[in-house]
This record gives sequence, C-alpha cells and structure tokens, in this order.
Amino acid sequence: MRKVKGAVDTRKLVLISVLVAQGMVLGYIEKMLPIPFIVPGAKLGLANIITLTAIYFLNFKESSAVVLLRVFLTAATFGSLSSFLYSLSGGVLSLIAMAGLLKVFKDELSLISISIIGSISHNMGQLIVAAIIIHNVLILTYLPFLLIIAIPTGIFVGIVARALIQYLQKTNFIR
Amino acid sequence: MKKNDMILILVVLIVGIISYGIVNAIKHNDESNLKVIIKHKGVVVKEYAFTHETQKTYVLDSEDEVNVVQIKNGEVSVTEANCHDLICVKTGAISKPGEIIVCLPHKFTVEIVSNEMLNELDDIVE
Repeated sequence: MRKVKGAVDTRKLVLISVLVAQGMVLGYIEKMLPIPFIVPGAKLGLANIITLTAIYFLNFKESSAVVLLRVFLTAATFGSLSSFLYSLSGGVLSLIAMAGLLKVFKDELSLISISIIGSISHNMGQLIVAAIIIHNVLILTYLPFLLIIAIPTGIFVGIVARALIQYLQKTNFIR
Repeated sequence: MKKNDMILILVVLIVGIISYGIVNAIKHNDESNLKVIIKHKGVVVKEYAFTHETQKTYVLDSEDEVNVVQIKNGEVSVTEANCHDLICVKTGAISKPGEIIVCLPHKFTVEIVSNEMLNELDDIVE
C-alpha cells in the first residue's frame, strides 16, 4: 500500500472511533447497573476494557485519544462537572499505569495483572479527586478497600478485554 | 492465569490488608472529646459534640438534595437520602473517630473526629 505523508490511516481512525463509542456505551450501561459496593469511589470500570484494548493495538498517543474523547464526549452528553472530573482522573491514571506496564512487562504479565493495576489506579484517581471535591482527606481511609475490590473487578475486566482482543485479531481488521 | 498474576494478586491483597490495619490503628486511639462534623460541598454545616447519650437528627435539604443524619445510641448513620447510589445509607452506622460516611453525588460527608485528629488534619491541610 502506498503511504501518503500525513495521511490518516482509515482503519486506525475507524478503530479509534468504534472504541470511543463502545467506551461511552459501556460507561452508560455501568451507570444503570445497581451498585453492589458500599465503598465510595469503587466501580466495576467497564470502560477499562476499552482502554486496555486500545493500549494493546494502538500507540500511546492514539490510546490517549480514545480515553480523552470518551471522557469528554460522555461529559458532554450525560455528565456533570464532578462526574467529568472523576472519569478524567480515573481514566488518565489507569491509561498511564496500564500503558506503562504493558510496555515494560509485556512478556512477564498477562492482561489480567495489567487490568488489576488499571482498576487500582482508576479507583485511586477517583478517590483522590473525591477528596479534593468534598474537601475531606478522611475519605482516603477507603483506599485499602479499593485495593481489594480492584482484584475481582480487574480480573473480570482483564478476561473480557482478552476475549475482545482475541476476537479482533481473528477478524484480521487490525494489521 | 500465569504465575506472575498470582503473585501480583497476592501482593495487592497483602498491601490492602496491611494498609487496612494501619488505617484501623490510627482510628482507634483517642475516644474522648469526640465530635460529629457534617459537611456539604466542603463547608461545615453542622457540628455536634458526640457522646453515647447524644440524640440528634440533622436533615440536609438544599436544591433537591436530601440526606438525613441520625445520631443515637453512640452511633451515627445516614438513614435516608435521595442520591442515586445510596452508598451513604448502605455504609451503615459509624461510631469511632476517623470514620466517615460519604455521599459523593451530593458532596456530603459525616465524620467523627477527636480533637487530636482535628489538629493533625489541620496540619495536613496547611
């Protein structure tokens, strides 16, 4: 295929757009689910499935675009200022943590470990912003609970992301 | 799952349990001179001295945001709220200094503090 300098790779553009859309829908679904946790800041983190998939197939710049677009568009369609700040801090922190881990420990760690770390950083980001928004550092005493909750949610997200990645590889869409 | 995953899960679990222990150790010291502080949007809206005999009900009602705080039998709980996740109600009762009930959607918190802790917290903020 001939490459034009500065041209946009259409496949990549489509992948980014689809991932952003999926992330938004997953975030919306998560909002409708009843919350099984009694700890503020804890979330299932379905959007992390998309972040992880993006990191796996795209470079850091492109996966940042996926995360940031999802956060901004979600805030613009059905969010408030504080929910925007929560998802921005959680999304960016988990993006950085997971992208770094995937780069350094690609062979040592599986997607499950990476997504556990992603869940932890996602929850931490949200809790830190919560502490700032409500002006209360005592809320950080919930951190230990968030660490432990991140294990099952991280495993779940990791398994789903692995299935999605394997499926996408099979379709030959990504080269 | 690889072996490394198991190690990571174990490490996270251990760190979680240890930090829970540390948080708990900080919580349980001073049991006298307790106060219940109720904050909304970062501003203290009500303060009560908190003893076993304290019996108070505080109702926050501003801009359709309702939280009902009940203090009785040496316990503090949010009994009613109209936020969407109801985490504040599900948290149940708190009774020790350092414990906190949080309603993130309403930016509403109820905390029990001792005088000693209050000074420490001021130091952190400064």
